[in-house]
Amino acid sequence: MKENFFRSMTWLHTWVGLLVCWVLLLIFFAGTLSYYRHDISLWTKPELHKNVIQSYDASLIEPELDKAQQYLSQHAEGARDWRISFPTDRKPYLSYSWQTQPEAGQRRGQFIEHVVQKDQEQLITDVRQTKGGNFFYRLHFDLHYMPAKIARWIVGFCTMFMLIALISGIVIHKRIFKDFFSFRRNKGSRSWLDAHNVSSVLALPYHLMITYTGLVTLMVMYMPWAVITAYDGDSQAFRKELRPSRVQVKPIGETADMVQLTSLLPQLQGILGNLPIRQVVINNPGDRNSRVNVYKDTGETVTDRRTAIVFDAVDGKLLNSGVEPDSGAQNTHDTLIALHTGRFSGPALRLLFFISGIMGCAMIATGTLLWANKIRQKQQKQLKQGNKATFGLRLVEGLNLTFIAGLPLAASAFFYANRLLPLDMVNRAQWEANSFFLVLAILGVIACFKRTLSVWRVVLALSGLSLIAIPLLNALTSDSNLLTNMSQGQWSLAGFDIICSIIGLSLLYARSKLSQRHKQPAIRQHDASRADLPLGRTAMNKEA
Amino acid sequence: MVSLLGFSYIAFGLLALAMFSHHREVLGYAPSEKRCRVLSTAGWFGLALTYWGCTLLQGFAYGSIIYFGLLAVAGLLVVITLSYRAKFMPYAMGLSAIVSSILLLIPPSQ
Repeated sequence: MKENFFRSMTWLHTWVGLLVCWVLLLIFFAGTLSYYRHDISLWTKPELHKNVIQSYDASLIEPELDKAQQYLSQHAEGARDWRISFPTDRKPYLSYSWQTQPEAGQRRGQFIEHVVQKDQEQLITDVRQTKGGNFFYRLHFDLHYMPAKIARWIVGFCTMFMLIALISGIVIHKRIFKDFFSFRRNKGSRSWLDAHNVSSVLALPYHLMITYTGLVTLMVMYMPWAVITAYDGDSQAFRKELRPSRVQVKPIGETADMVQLTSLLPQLQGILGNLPIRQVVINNPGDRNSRVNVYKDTGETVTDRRTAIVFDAVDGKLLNSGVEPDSGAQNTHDTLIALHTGRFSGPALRLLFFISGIMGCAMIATGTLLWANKIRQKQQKQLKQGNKATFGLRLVEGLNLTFIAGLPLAASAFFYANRLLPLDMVNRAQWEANSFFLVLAILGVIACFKRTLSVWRVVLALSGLSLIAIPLLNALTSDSNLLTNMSQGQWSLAGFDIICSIIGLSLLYARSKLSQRHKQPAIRQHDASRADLPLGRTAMNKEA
Repeated sequence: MVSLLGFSYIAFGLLALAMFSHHREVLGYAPSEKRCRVLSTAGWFGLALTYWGCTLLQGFAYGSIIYFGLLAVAGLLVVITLSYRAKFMPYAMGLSAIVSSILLLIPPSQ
């Protein structure tokens, strides 16, 4: 019974993990990058690299609000909403933005953002078309080139598989705690297994948390029945009760003058105290039925709630002081979502999350490499007789090459496209995304014909070098460079360059490891043509 | 923050030394059973102490989250030390004890 149980769990772990691992790697990779979503967005808009980045100053709120109202009423009359975003730690600049009225058949209008310079006078209106960090953020749960709804189902499916793989993995790797600190180098599949163990176990709390909360983020979509039953299918009523402060109001078509926004400040101070204001959103500006929503900056509190303080935009009456019903279920849900998105985390915790995310990518990657390695060992006899590897093995090795080696290269292609594509290109933002997928596609085609170690080395070298050159690219294509960013304290820009270079260096290190293995005589004892074998097969140990 | 990372590194280092094979690898001789028990108790104690430090410095919620992040990185560092510079382990732990204690004595800038 016991033997059978472990055997079936092993089977489950292998197949559940293998079936979805490449999509999962893409999701994990995009999610990990999304921790730095706003930093990536800032980096991809070099127009904002000079005289823009500032920190929140409570004493400037009043004049800034006044100017914003003037500017928006001049430039964004008849918009669907206005947004005034004050500098925060993650988005360190002041901006006025608005959404135009949606065209017929569209759900949303066009989103326009003008950024205010530090001196409070000039506005930057012409920023290049780019998706920036939002590309990776959307890729994380909406994938690309497909309707969001289908994509979210695929992502949910993969997440569920991942949760099963994690739990069955804990069950089958009985020795994980015995092998807690063991990483035996240069021992072929043993090393891959160790790497798989280490990356899974050390960040296990993170992996379990991120997978589970990932399911929770879209739980109402995956399991809508409770809501359907309780609210007779009226999901709007459900949302209204869940978040009374976020109810959308419809314009009634009568024009009315808007209250001076600054006149709301004393009331706001009474509610917020000294807490910073993050954003002021005005729905249906100029209409009789218009609202002012004020969002506070929740800082490092573990919450993801966007609770608005709501005023009537015409007579300035306070409609909702931003207090939501304090229910246990909702607090739990909120905490879980906050843990997943990590919006509350400061720089240190964000870096730790990022490292844990990379360990998650490593866990998935080593898992599939390990599998390919084992299957190749099994087929060793047939291979020696000159037979071709089975289709399954070729498929797995090809996908490994495409996704594991390809994702960093694709991401760096995205950054290069962001800087090098002509500024007036039609559909520019889309072409940045296309270049990401083009790289993956090209690698996929190459992988159909050649999956040898030399291809791995070339791809790793390419991505390593291109990532190391990111600071250079930044210096050549923007007004600032790594050094000026550091001296001016623009740390999110400097950090981007530094992290890219570090990742590039480690990819080059990985590449050098791949070639080193050939020089070791112990490895050559089996077969002289090792260089033509795929990754993971270079350092066969005696287990084989 | 860095000092907490240092302390969790030491705690994990002690737990690693409490294991037979790692102890032999690092110090060159097999540990007695009593020694293993002492080392692992000290390691667990260190982990608990780090958790206490995290919640004290960062509050219960934020501190707990950062604790798990620190453990992942500290564990990774221990694994790297053990597999690349096993003999250096005791010195690395001593060094991180000194640095972490000094950092702890410097009052936060705020």
